[in-house]
Amino acid sequence: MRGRAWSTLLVMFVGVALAAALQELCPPLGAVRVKPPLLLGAAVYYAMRREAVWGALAALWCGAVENGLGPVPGGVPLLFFALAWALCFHAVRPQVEEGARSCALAGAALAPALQLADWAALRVSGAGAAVPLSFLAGRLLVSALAGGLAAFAAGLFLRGLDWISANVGLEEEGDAFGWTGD
Amino acid sequence: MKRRTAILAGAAAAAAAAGYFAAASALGPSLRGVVREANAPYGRAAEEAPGWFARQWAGFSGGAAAARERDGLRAELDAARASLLELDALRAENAELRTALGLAASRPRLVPAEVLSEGGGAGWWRSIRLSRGRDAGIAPGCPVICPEGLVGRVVSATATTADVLLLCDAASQVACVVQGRAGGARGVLRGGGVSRPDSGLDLLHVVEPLAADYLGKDLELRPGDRVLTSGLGDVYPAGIPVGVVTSVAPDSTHLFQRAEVAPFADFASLRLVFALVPPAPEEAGQ
Repeated sequence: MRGRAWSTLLVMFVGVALAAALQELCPPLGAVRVKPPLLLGAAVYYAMRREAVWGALAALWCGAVENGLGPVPGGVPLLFFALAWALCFHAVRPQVEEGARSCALAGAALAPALQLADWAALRVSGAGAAVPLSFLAGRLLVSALAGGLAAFAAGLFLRGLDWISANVGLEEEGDAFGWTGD
Repeated sequence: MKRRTAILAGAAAAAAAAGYFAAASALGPSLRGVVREANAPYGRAAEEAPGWFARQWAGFSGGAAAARERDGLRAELDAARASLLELDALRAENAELRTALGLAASRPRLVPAEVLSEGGGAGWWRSIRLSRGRDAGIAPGCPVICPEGLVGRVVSATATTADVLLLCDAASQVACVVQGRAGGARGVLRGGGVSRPDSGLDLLHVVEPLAADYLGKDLELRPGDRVLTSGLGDVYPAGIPVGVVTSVAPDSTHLFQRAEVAPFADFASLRLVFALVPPAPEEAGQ
């Protein structure tokens, strides 16, 4: 059990580090400059498909990294990731079929919400005054698409790593990469 | 009883929220430093990898072309060395004259830095992240230039990284002077940001050119006039090339002229830039 915990932590470390590096290095998408929300995708995977403790840990870890990489003040992304975990784990997960598609839907819904939370925090701090509402609307639309894709890709990748590391077993899975759910 | 419990719960929640935001504000800069420095090596690797592969490929495929390029670079190096000798003489003369006049040295140091990423982690602003930070003397407020001209200014710095707000961001403002034929017109150059369409798809935002406002209406300005930093405001030193005027028109008040400016720097392809760092105290005392 202890070995599995270390192995899960290792996979989480690789996933978060890779998501952070790719999210920062990817050029912004389109004129509305949305970064692919890979950290959110990783947090959604752990919230939707792993035990509560791993979901909460991933939410705090990814939230802290998102907080450090971006300009948003006051710990808002960290708080958002924690609330997103609570919502996914307690409200969404019992209602939907577990699988990569559910992760994608959760990512598509949460990514625009994160943009809104960031924008509100920037407005309150005075830095967001230069952001026109039409620009924000474009960001919400593009981030929904990017969030769905990022959560889908991050979910598949991390599920694959978890499966290879024997953190999740075939008996828990519909197939090796969790395509069809448990 | 229920009301008292609700009030207590509300007060506890408000206190927890206040405590959280206060702690987050206090710890934010440290967290930012840790995360950005942990992420910086990936950026450096991604920045260096294409160059490494290009060098390997050039070694295999382009021996003759590389030799020609080397010869050209040698010639340029000789010319640059000759200029440097002349510059050294001028620098010494300048230092002597400044000493005679009792002026402190004002020449900033050029600190080269590579561009690690664009837009940071969230992409809200038009910004770039540099591979050097406070350890190299870069601090918030330092101007950043490239060989073509002004790029922007540093808005935050960790020990080994720095974030630069680009000139083209809507939040950027630069005190500038337009060099017309009859003299210079001072104004304020703003980043264009993106247009705000009244209708149509919000996705179709167009990046606007820079705009120089509050230019005196009596001066004759034309497309093609150069725009430089004016040095007012103490953020940017005077004389840094910024761009070229593309159009001039009276502003909405008809009291001033407004010029659209195309920047010299190509913000989409920035790789190596230079931060202008204030001279060290021992240099300033010379």
